[in-house]
Amino acid sequence: MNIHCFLTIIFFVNLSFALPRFAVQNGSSCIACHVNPTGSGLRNDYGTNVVALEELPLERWLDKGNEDWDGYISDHLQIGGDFRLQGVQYNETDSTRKSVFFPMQADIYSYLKLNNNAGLFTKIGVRGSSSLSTEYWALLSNLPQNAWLRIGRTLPNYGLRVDDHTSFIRGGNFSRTLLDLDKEGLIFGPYLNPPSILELGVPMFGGLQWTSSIGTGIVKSNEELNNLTTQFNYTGNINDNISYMGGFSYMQENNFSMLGISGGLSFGDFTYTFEADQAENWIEGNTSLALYDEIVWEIIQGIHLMGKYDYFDPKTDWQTGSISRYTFGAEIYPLNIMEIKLQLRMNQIDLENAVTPDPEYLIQTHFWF
Amino acid sequence: MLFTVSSLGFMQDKPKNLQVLDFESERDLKKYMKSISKDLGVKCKFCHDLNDKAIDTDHKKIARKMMRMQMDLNKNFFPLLGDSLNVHDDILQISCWTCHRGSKYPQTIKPKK
Repeated sequence: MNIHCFLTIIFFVNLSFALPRFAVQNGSSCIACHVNPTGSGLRNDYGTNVVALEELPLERWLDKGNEDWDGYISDHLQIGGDFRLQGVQYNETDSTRKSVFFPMQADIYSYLKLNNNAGLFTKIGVRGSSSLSTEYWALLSNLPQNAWLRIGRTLPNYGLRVDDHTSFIRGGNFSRTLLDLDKEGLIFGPYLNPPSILELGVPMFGGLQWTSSIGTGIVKSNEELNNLTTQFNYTGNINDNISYMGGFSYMQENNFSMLGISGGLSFGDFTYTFEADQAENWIEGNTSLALYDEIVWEIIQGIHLMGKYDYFDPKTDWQTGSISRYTFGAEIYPLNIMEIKLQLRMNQIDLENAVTPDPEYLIQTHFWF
Repeated sequence: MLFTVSSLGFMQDKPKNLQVLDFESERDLKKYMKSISKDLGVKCKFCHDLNDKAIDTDHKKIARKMMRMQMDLNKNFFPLLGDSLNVHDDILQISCWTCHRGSKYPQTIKPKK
């Protein structure tokens, strides 16, 4: 077995991530921890100064955190960033082992709070070896019914924004496809350019929140105003130990449509998160199905063990041709600015004579501030 | 046209629905909130609805009563030391820890052996 190791600086992800299971654990919507009311990217002062500082890191190094850092560099300007470096080892088709290390994400955020009711967000990230990715929006909040309005270039609110763009509910496989299809996952791939959207969010009653947006094309990536996305999301707690989230999402763009359910349940130190999506005409003339199931056990503060099942069937009318991926791993949060992710991935392809790159090993380090 | 920062109406996001606490800065308020969570061994969601932390929950209402009790005790029994909720690091004052000792429900009687 030959082992090839090399460093390549060719790929940066163009998306912002979140950890929806924390929302499930807290029985709250994403706005509890993120500046973006639909989650991902820059954390707010609660996300930075409470969750990341007090509730995530290993207890023995809790005192290494800076209690005064909440991202605000002035009374009104907050900054932050996410940086990820990833390594993957897998089998080439000729059964040699190959190892790849690459910088995955380098995003800097800013949020300018104009007043209690308005703010401006910008994200600048490195994309590829020579270009930048951007995301920007203005937020008007505290409207009647505590509603908010967001306008700018950003992703519409659909499903869970899990921190793994290779999950089939997001972008799936793209650089190393297993079925040799153009699309082995749904539309939220790593190179997706955020569309222009106008989004309305309304906290309704209890923990129910409704968001709806109109935006430019995502599927065709054009500037026509033809994407409609809506989501209902309900979060809550049954008692101190049990919390939950349940959601329904729908997206329509010309003849493409996608609907899904998502949510989770947290009981004590265990959190289960799921999403199931059905897309029409993502692969022209076909119905595609993507599933995501994750269970995480927080064995002690700072160390989470996880098992995950991803499934994608590009053409449900076929009798074969689906992909299943089983992932086992750990997420370690040694400090309030650092995450180390270790994963073992096994793939299963429902095709005769299919070759999988198993086992795949993944290591990712994630820094944020 | 001269366009200044102040003309945009910049202002800080003030905490809402404060009925007992009166801190000079938001930072002091957050520090005090953190001290409560540590003294009781709970996370914020024990008292707060994280979707809107200003909403009154059952535990939040109890917390207010506890804070008032603490302030009264400090004011009436330790007047020379001040009645603040927040300055009990160096001087003899009652804090949440005095009874709770890292537990949600403080022991009110000596436990049986």
